[in-house]
Amino acid sequence: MSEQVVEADIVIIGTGAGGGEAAKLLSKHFKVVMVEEGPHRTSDDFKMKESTAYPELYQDSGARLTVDGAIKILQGKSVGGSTTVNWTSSFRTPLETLNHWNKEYGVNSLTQESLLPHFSRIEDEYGIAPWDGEPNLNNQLMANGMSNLGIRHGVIPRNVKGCLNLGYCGMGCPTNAKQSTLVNAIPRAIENGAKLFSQFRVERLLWKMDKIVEALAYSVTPNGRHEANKKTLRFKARHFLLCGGGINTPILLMKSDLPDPYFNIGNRTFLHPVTISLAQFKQKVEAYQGAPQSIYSDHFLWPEDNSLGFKIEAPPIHPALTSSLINNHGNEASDMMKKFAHFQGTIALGRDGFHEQSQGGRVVMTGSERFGLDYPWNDYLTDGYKKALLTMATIQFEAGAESVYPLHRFARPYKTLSDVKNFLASCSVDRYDLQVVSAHVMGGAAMGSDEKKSVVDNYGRFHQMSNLFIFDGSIFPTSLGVNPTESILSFSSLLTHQLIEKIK
Amino acid sequence: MLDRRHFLKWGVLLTFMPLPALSKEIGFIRLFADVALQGSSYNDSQFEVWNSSFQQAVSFRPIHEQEELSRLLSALDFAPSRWLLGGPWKSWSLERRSDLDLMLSSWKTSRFSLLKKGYSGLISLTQSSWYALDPSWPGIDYPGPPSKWWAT
Repeated sequence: MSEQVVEADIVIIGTGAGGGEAAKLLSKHFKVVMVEEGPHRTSDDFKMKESTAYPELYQDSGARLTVDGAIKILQGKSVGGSTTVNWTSSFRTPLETLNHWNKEYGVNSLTQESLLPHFSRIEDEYGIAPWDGEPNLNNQLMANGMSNLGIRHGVIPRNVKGCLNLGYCGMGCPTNAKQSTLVNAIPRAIENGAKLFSQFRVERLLWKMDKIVEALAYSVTPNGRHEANKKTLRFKARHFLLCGGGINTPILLMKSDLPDPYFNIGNRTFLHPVTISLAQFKQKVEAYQGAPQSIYSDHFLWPEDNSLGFKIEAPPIHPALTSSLINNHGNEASDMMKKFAHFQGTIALGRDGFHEQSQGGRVVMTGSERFGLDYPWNDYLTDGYKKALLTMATIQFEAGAESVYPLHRFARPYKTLSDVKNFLASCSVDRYDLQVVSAHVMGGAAMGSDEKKSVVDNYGRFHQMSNLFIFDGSIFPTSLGVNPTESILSFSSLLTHQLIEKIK
Repeated sequence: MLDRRHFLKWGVLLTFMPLPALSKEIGFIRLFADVALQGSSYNDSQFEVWNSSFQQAVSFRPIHEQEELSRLLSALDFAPSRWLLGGPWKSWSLERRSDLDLMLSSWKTSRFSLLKKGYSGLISLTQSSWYALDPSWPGIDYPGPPSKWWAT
């Protein structure tokens, strides 16, 4: 077992949206080292095949499970983190969300005004602009249904330059059109002299008094297992940036036994819980090809009645992932899969964290050195999920669907909206029956001005340590209500500029 | 019908079940694929290719999930626990397709989360291991990823 000490001014743990962007900016002024648990895969490796993409590019092979096993989470893992595999939808943080954070959590550094220059620069550098191509049929059909019903919708801004419209963003972009931190920020950081250690997982932060003194990392295989002859790296630096993302960042804080006097670490972890409605059309939809997401609707995102708001989008539909969600065996599952090319998929992302009945999940210890996310299940949430499923079915029938299948273990493809309505009125809301998934993990190390209710301050600094900062999606005090990439990039940009001013 | 008291006993039993290698349960896994993928273009002659995809998918799961799966398979190989889980007293064989189908259906509607969770876990691994493979694609009219980018 070999051991090596690596010294730097700043060590950045995690290379997704938060860590990658911070590395790019900090490396202009400081000696920076990036540590990433996932493998360094690039466009040559991206073969648009689920069988190879999920194990190497996603946490737990594309199905990170909540503790109860009920919710499957898509979360990136390789160099570039989730920016390597996301579906490219990039939105500014909603004003309502920022105002809510300010009022309820004392977040005063992340405001619409302070973020404006960062949103602009990020959009410019990452090529973020409303998709100017034709939507694929999957998105177009959904837009048709929305238009007929008078549901407000718009074109999704995507972080791409020269996109070939292939439709395989979720398996890594084979043409480098997607502006992930993998192709955008990290190469710039390396040009500036930063070093990247991939396939090293930081297992523990060692601390004395109010300072992190060392990050201890072991080498892992591309699939995340410890190597037989594992190498050890001991990172020493003046400052440590933790950018592991939701779930992972709180886990490292917990494993390191960092002080948590008010028991906030890991609390309020949000998922944008997603419900799925699969419609079958007479014509082929081929939802596996073309820009996966180009149309969205925020019509139901901020309901006046305080129910769970949701954003509507369309997912790409690929065989293995789809089959893993159908949750049935034998003919029932096979009959569904035979209609695969005719599926139109619509998803609703629940805006969790804004209601007393929606306080998010908790990262908990489930065994020796083992942690997981315990996410709640209650009437408030399931009422919201059912409402979203009915709304999506309405849109799909309006667009001309022959049948609609709300993803639920006991649902069938229904020919009429009233059949869907009847089913939803009486169906079980058991967590193993009503299918909920997630692709956005947020929170767990919330930002706030009150130490008693948060984990980091308005600088992103961990309250109890003078040299530990968290610049990733785990600092959100609630979910966002939009896909998080642009928010994480922009928050990281703002917080990194604040940090540079402070320590330069 | 399994009542709560018996089920809890079974849960304890399951915890102490030995951890066999997945490859030891190959007969059952073969039957399982046959029942779970019934109606798709899968047939028994594709077992080898599906099984290597399945074994690989299992190997990518977190260690504790692999252990749970091994224990479950082990319990299904032992007559008393198999019976408690809703399976037949006699050993699994290709004639027991309908028994397995019945058992799986009973897990789906079970009052016990452990069985519902077991069902979801096993089924999603089985299905995705098949549909990740090229040979499954003609059966669902999926052409596979594009090979010529310049044509798009």
